[in-house]
Amino acid sequence: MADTSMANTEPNILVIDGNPDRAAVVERGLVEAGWVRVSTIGPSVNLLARIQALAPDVIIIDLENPDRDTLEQMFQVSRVVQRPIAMFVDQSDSHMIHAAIDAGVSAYVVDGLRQDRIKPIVETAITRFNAFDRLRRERDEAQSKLQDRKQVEKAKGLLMKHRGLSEEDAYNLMRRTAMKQNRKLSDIAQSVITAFEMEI
Amino acid sequence: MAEIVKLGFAPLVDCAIPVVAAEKGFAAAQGIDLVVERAPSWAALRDKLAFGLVDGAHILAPLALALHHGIAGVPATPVLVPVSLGLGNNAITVSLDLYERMVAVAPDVMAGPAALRARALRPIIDADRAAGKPLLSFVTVFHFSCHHYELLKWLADGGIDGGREVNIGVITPPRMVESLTAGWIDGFCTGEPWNQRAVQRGVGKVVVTKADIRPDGLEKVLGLRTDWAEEHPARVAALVRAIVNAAEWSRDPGNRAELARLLAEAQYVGLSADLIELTLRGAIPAPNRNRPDVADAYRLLLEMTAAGQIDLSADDRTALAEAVWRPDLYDEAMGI
Repeated sequence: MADTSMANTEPNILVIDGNPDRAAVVERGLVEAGWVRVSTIGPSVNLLARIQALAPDVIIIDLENPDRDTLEQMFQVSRVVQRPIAMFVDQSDSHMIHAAIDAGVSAYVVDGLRQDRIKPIVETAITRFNAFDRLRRERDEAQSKLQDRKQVEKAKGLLMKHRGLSEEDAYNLMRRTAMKQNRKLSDIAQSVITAFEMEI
Repeated sequence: MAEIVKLGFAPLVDCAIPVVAAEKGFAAAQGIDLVVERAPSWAALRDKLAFGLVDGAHILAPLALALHHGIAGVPATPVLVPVSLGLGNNAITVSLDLYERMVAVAPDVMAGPAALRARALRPIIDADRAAGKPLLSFVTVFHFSCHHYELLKWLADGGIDGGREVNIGVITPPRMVESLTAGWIDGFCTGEPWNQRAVQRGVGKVVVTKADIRPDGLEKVLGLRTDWAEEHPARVAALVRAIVNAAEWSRDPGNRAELARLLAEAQYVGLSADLIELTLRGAIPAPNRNRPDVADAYRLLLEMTAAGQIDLSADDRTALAEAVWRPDLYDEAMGI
């Protein structure tokens, strides 16, 4: 019994995100930090019906999500959702508002929920949004590096095959050209590949 | 070194004027470097304006009043309107299913004037209530929008109380057709091309257009942060001139095809140029409508009052309208 009453005092958190991967990262972060009542919904659902059914106390939604206009209307019309909801918890906390905007987080909170209970939820969401961004950036960089390496290998192979250069000479030729033209090695590799493709 | 001015815009055809001002050199000719930033929702645009991420925005006329008055979901942010941008080309579309019911129960009404067609909803609403069915659901683009008030007015002219007898929600226009197709909603009020798209896909029928509900009703304005505008009066004047010149260029039928191609670009509206060209009508106000008219603001405040969004005395309404609508700044910029 004690557990049930504990659970019911926990805020009911809903994460809405057009990017399901990020929604999962945010949800996991919240659950790991100790909030147990967390659900997520993605784009293209009947948002009105889903939110009425879930009756969340806190909604975390990505700032750029076009469904925000739908949410705002629902919160204006008390008939649809029981209590009015304010945006950005404590509107005097401009530091947090700017941190949220920078991270791309927007939050809606049922009026009456204590601010000291909301703040850590929003802060966790901000941290997870930032972490997700960092991960995505690192992944993109790693992918582009891998792509660059593949191109250099391909260009080297073409020079070896069609110009009879050794592997070392082929590489040095491209590197010297890159330095001379002040361009990236991968750009030179791409030019080499294009040149050979055009000959064919 | 040109002075930078940052404006937010929503990806709709009536963002044409600020985009043209930035792209066709009208801002540069006035000595300002105009940067335009796209926002995916009215809420996002309002946030950018309220938290100072932009100096001004292409904005729904009633939203400018709501923001100034502090009822737009963010702290009250003083804004002013030195120039008007557009009159809109809205229409109300209902699902095929609802349209067929309307024709079946009230063929005479449906054959009559479009402004009164909501009368055909009366027997449907009564029958649904008796059968214990849920209310009909309509959506508009935002709660502080002319679309919302136009829908309410059309319903009221047909004897329907939009505040009680139907549900009115909000869905972003690009998702309206999908929601109508899925049966989540029974109708919507929005600008083009979304009404035409529902008709083309065979999922909806246009029952009335703005011309029948509120002809010549103002819809979009340029809203500037008052603190920014007061700090940079010369930039405001330069911006107003750039906007007026851009509107003149946009109005020229000879530029229509080029304008449609420009707006079709992904960073602006991002729809096909052909579709945009068809819907440009109404997006560019007549020359005499660029100057802000306080009467427009006052009428909007009356509509906001009727919609239960704001509660002000007549004096306070006038004061609010005059604080936000600033024809004096327009006159000053244009040397009138």
